[in-house]
Amino acid sequence: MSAAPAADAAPAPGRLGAWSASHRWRQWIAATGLGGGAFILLLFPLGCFLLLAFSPRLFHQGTQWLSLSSFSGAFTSSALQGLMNTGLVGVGAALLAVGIALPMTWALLRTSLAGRRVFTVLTWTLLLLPTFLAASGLEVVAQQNGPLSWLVGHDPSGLRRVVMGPVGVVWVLACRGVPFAYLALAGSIRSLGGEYEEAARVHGARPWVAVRIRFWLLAPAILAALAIVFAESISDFGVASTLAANAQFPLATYTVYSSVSTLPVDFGTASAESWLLLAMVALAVLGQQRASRGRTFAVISGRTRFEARRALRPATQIVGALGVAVFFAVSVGIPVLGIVATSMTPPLGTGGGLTFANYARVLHDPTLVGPIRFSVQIALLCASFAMLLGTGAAWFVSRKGASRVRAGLDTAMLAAIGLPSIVVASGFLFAYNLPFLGHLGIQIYGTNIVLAMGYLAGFTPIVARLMAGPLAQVSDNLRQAARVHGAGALRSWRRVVVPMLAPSLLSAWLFVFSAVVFELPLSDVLHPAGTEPLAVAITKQMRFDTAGGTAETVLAALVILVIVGICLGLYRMTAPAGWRRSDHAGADRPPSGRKWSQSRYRRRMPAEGALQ
Amino acid sequence: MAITGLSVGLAASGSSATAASPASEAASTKVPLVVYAAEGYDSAMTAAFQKATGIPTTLYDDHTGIVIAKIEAERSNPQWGLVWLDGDQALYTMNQQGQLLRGWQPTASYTTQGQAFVPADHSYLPTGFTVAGAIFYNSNQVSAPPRTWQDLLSSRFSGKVGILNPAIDGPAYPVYAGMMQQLGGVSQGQRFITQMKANGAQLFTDPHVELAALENGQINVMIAQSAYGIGAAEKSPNIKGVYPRYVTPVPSVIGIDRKVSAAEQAEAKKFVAFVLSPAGQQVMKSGDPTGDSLYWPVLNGEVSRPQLPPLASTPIKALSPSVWGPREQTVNSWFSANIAL
Repeated sequence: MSAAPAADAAPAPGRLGAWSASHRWRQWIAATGLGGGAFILLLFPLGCFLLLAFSPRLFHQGTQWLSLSSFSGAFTSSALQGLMNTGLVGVGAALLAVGIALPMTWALLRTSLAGRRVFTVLTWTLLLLPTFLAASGLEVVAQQNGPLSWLVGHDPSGLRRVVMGPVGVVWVLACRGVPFAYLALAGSIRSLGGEYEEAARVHGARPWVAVRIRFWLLAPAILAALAIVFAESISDFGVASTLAANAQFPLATYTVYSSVSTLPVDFGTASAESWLLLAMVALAVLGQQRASRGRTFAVISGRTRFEARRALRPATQIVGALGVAVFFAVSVGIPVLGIVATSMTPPLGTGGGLTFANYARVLHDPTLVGPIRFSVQIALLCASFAMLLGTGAAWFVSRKGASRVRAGLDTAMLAAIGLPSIVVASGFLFAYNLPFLGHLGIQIYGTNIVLAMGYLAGFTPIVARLMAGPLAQVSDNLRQAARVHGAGALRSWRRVVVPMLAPSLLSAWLFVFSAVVFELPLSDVLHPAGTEPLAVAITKQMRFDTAGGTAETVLAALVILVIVGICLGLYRMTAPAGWRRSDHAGADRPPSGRKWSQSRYRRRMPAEGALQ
Repeated sequence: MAITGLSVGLAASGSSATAASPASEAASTKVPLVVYAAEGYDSAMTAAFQKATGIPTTLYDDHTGIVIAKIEAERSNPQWGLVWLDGDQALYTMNQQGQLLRGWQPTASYTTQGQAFVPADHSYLPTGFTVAGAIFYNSNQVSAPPRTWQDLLSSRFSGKVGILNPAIDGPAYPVYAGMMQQLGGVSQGQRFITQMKANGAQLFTDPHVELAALENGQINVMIAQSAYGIGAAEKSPNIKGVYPRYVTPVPSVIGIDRKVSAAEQAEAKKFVAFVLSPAGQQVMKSGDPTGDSLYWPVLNGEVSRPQLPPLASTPIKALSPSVWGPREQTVNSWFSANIAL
């Protein structure tokens, strides 16, 4: 992979000393700020929890100051089986998700694929679909006397055997991973210019070489997508606690959760199991770092030319649209069918066919308004902070010049994604309730501040990984050029970098917002007495009223979809034209590959306009 | 500015009580009482207690496992004043660890059964009890229901019995512990559970998933906590219950934190006294009418809701928490390795 132009713009000689000192000062502030944030949100709580495996007494969890006995619980056959299953499921889900998402994202963003707006909405729907609901919906559809048996007229026992096992688990996690991969890939695919491909074609390369070039140009985004889907899959709790548990297919999150939520509670074993999960994540991090070592993927520079959408031939159009439609029909349609069927099940004892009675009951329950309002409020706050912190962290680690701080921050963030939320929550429980913090006057335990910090710890690393791909492709010479032309540090960010990242930033913000609303393990453990997040309220409703709880979930998902739609609409109507690059590609390219380099289809860089 | 305002609001909402405390001068001198509970009627009870006494009461409600996990994690700096949940094994263990206030007795008149649940040191107190596991069946599918635990091994119920995983569902452990006790020991009980699995028993993680399977015909019989099964039967007439000889009673128990301030302990005692008063018992019976309110009282003069079978005809045999509490981890580990896999 050849390096793209990335020359640093040099300041005027007379100002070199002052510029250099100022630059170092800003670097130090950035490193300190991000390092401090990482310490508060990740290293301190997770460090406390991981230390517990070696020193139970330090946290009043045993009598020994130093011991390895906790690891005996983590090396039982069932725990190791769960760990192995988790690794295999993570790899399978990552490969399947990226394998689906790569062509799909390209088709949605770079071609005239019919129905692409609907498919984009469906991608969001898939992202908003909590995995426990997707898994439960799939189970319901495949069950005896379920919706599928009504449709086909017989018990789908064969399908049930497939669904209730590793295949079903990998499929649900891969479906969940597709929108993650889409978000990780979208910014890069939108931004990918045609000049490298053009250069290859000018030099006589065949079409497949152009495809290969594009593939390699997307390598950082693909690696980021694989890493994030893997980490998300191995830390998922929704599938582990429903489909996998019911199929008696243990996953590591399930065994960790069992250790901390069943009697007698054993945080030591949970901590030891977390170490093993961490080792698995470390292997993934090493793999990714090894794959991208010594390469730079900064391909967006002042010379970049953004291409228009490619108009598809009719046959390709049909095959492509059909393929994407089938994927969404299976990944979204089937679980939604199961969920809606469950939510419309008549209340026990009332008999009759499908009914909206559960929705009416939920809508008339005043106790549900509070959790929805609370979760939306805290999600707005956390999404905004997570976007700022995550983007800052991604920018910091993606800059040139490897350092231990950058490598450490990058590793810590991916590790945090791979650790189950229950581990993060337990870390906050132990760390921020330590008596010495009270002596220092820091008494935030038991407030919503700790809950919000938990959400930030859970989602900031995901934002950082989602932004890693797009940021890796933004050459620093653009911002340096702005600086040379007199823009300050903040202005160069605002006028150059932000416009290029705007779609990715919006996607990341919307994801965190919607994910926080439905987040369960962190909410369950960290919510203060007297406050009830939506996921906790839904879970309680589910305990004795499955249909009502499901109806409540469907309604909450609709509310979130409406909010997401409003945000996207506002962005479309109010954002400057340069920020909506992808929307400019409205002029479809001619289908003939021979005309692919015609300059009339090229777009101007938004940054160029921003600098004028 | 807006974000700052929101964050301040969020922080404030976390540190304040569930409901605003009375504006009276007396209320302002009272410390907040923090209740950690896993009962369906706990929110109704804290609201009623606050209304009756003016003591600001904050509730953390979740399922038993999470409540215990939170208490365990907070051992270095406890945040709770009072704990209330199903199952005396958990509070027995907490007492062994020195977390509970001992020796205090409210003025309550316990029945013989209720008194049997009271430990000698009064470190915790029963407030009612349910049955950990009874047999519930779908009468549309089953004409001759099982009458004994052994009947579940019959070929008539091959592949049609639902059981719960004790590693996930709290009340499932006393069910299996009870079987082990009456069959003569842990290994005999393990053999029986293994036979159930060999007969095709289906394992579920949640009672509501199990109930859905019973409703749709995936299974015809399920073992579930009495309050859950009776609540389902109340809504669905085709679900009926059987109490084989013997079933294991699970008391709902309440305990006070030994380490909190004297002021909060005094309020916690008032809370316990309120729960055990006729007014409190009425709240327990009405707070979760198709769930935990379906319990048998442990106080003289109190009667259960009409849906419950008479206690005299229910063959119960209690577990000793000092014997079966310490065995829980071993039994659950065995279950995970041999039945859940």
